[in-house]
Amino acid sequence: MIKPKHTFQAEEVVAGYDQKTILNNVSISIPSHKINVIIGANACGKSTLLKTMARLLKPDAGAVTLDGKSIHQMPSKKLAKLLGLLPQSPIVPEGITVTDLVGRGRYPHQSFFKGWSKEDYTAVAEAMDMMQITELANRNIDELSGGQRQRVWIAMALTQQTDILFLDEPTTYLDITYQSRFLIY
Amino acid sequence: MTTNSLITIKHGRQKRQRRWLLVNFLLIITAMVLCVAMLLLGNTFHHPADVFRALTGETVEGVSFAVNNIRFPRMLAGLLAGIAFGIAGNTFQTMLRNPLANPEILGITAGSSVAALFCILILQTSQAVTSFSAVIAGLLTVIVIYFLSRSGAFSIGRLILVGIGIQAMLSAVISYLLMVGGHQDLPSALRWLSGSLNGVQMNSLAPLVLVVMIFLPIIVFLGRHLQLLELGEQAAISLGLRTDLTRILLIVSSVCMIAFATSVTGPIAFVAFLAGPIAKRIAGVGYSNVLPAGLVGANLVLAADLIGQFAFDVRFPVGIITGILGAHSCFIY
Amino acid sequence: MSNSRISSQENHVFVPKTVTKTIVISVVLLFIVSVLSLAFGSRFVTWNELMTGLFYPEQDSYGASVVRERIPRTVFALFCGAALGVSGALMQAITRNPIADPSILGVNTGAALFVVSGLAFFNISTASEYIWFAIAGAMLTAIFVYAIGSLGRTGATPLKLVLAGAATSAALSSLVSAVLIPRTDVMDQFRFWQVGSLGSASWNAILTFLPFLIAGVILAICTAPALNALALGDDLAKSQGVQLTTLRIFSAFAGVVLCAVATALAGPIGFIGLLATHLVRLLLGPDLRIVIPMAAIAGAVVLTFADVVGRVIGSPGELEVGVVTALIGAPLLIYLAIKLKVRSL
Repeated sequence: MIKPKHTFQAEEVVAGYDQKTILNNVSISIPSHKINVIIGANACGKSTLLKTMARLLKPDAGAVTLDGKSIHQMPSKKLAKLLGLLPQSPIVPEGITVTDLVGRGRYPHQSFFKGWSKEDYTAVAEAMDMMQITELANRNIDELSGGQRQRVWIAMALTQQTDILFLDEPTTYLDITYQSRFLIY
Repeated sequence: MTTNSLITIKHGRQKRQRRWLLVNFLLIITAMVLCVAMLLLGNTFHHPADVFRALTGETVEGVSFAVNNIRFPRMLAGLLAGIAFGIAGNTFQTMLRNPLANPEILGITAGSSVAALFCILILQTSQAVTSFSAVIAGLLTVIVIYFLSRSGAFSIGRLILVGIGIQAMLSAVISYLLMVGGHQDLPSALRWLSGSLNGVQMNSLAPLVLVVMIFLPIIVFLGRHLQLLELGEQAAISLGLRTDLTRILLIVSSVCMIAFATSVTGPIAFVAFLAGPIAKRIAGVGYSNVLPAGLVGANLVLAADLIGQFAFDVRFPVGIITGILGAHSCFIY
Repeated sequence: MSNSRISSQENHVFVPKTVTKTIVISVVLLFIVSVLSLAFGSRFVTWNELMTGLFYPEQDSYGASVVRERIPRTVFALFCGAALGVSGALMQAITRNPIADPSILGVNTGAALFVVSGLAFFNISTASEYIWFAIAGAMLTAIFVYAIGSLGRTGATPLKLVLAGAATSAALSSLVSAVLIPRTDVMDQFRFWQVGSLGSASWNAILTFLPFLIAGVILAICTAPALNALALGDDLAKSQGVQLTTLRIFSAFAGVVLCAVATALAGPIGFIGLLATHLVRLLLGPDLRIVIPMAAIAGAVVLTFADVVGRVIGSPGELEVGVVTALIGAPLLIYLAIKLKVRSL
């Protein structure tokens, strides 16, 4: 999802892992203010492309630019307010509650030492309402089902309140109702 | 609807925050009680008033020497080493997302000890040089483990296995150094191998005080970042954390604390291993675990030392008591 | 990783020529390390002295008596190495884990703890008493480590087993020190125990050791075909008619007893099982019917050689063999960790 004020482009990107090149000279311009979907067969490089665009993977050549500036050179916290990502297989710390995990998405908006601000609470509450996990708020993540967990992670990505949000296989684990509900948002 | 959920969320969060504060407060109280006990108890019991007067500089017959030269350094060493081991252990456990992964098992402590023994037994350097080399060697060990486990696809599991291998090798080197070293240097060498608060001198404590005062705030400050690292590399980066920088800072700070604490007390077994999980269990997970882990570490060391001194006919060094505690927790785990 | 190994094994036809070659090479290697072990040490002996010491018992010279002193030590090193080699091969097969070894899994620390406790609290003194205590300790530790290592959804992965072993072993060594500290007599007597040493070898100890070694190795060889099937996974092994529980109990018993007996008499010596098994697998393939007996020979060669190295480096004293084996074995562990596939961690 990209809000209108931004332009987001990948220019002649070459990327891969170790010696294996997966993306070879890929250029792509993401239309703004729309939901864009990347579709392809298994192992065709969707995740790699997404990782490169979300600055998890440094391209060997070429650049990914946001509003004309290379994302790999922007201050990381500033970028994190503009660009978020829901990773494919995130790691759950043991014993954490839903609220606390969703709240960690507020990191780029928080400064040191301060507790949660009013905006932090509002953002967390909104995201949790949207994903319908408010009643799970004080539950332990370990007790949740796969689908509920996935909604928690999406909520965390939403709390980050970024203009651009990349979702890697966001509908994994979700049943059809939530899949369609999520895609409507 | 949002206001309702806002209340639910706030309520739960504040409840956990109160618990976190309460736990920290209680841990500070118990640590203080243990500190006082360390000052009062010894070969003879001294009256609190006498101890207080001795500490404030008055000369009290038969009390001043014991309190100022033996009990106070011992207490301070236990307190600081406990904090250092607790926090450093928790940092590694959280960063590597494995409760069994701590500096002892990964060979970082052994790396420091090898350098220290080499300095003491072969080069016969001063204490300052020895501690400094121990820090450098600890860091080098981390670097070696990191680079060895990066060949092929990186994984935390691989890093832990490599660390265990390094640990085994360095322990062998330690045995070798002990064999070739001169007998007159052995006592100061053994200091690096088994945890004990016996005979801690005030002047050898100064570097540790300094190191804890510098690095404790740094790690507490990085506590929030550590929580993000716990979510995995990808999530941490997307949340805007500079993961490499954070990791380097955390590792350097932890290794410094460990090396300096070890130079004073020796490796006190299992404190680094137990403090983090215990702190997590009693203080909860939502808030930074750094401070509770440090406090639990301090409590463990002080309590274990008191037990070792007074509970049995024989005086056991603190490392043995914590080791037995560790063995028990292994069985429960 | 086991799957790929097995498929190559089925193509691997073990022709008699290879058998002859292997036997010849083994005998030659055993001979060489034995001679080295007799000749080298803090005092080198000449060929003549060696011959006199071995074959002319009526002639006496200083060199010859040095050689005679070294005979039991050499025999003991060979036997211990064989026991530890087979033990390591069994543990790797049962746990389907390339990084298994009595020392890595903490089993011999458990044996050590029981022997030290026996010395301190029950006044045990004979070699056979040591052995029974060691077996009990090793057995309990093995069960315990395996139980911790298989907690959780993923079952007993190499990483979890190794970590459980390392933590248990650290905890148990604290207990060993706790037992030793108040008893300086025991401590002095058994300080070498902490690292493992062959210096105390006597004919008496060797004779006590021998029946256990023979029984253990025979049991191990008998279970080898079934263990081969186990390498394919529990389900496949079951479908081939293997009694999984019985197999695991028998082979684990053999593995634990072998390592316990060696530990009882020589102290905890690490990494021999790891070194021997991987050496054999590298050269001769993964078929356990070959790996197990050959691991005995490889273990004997490696341990005896390590003992010689320790005596030469440590001259005029000696560097305990446990230190030498750790110095050689730990890099192998690191290498294996690097080579393992991420998924199989």
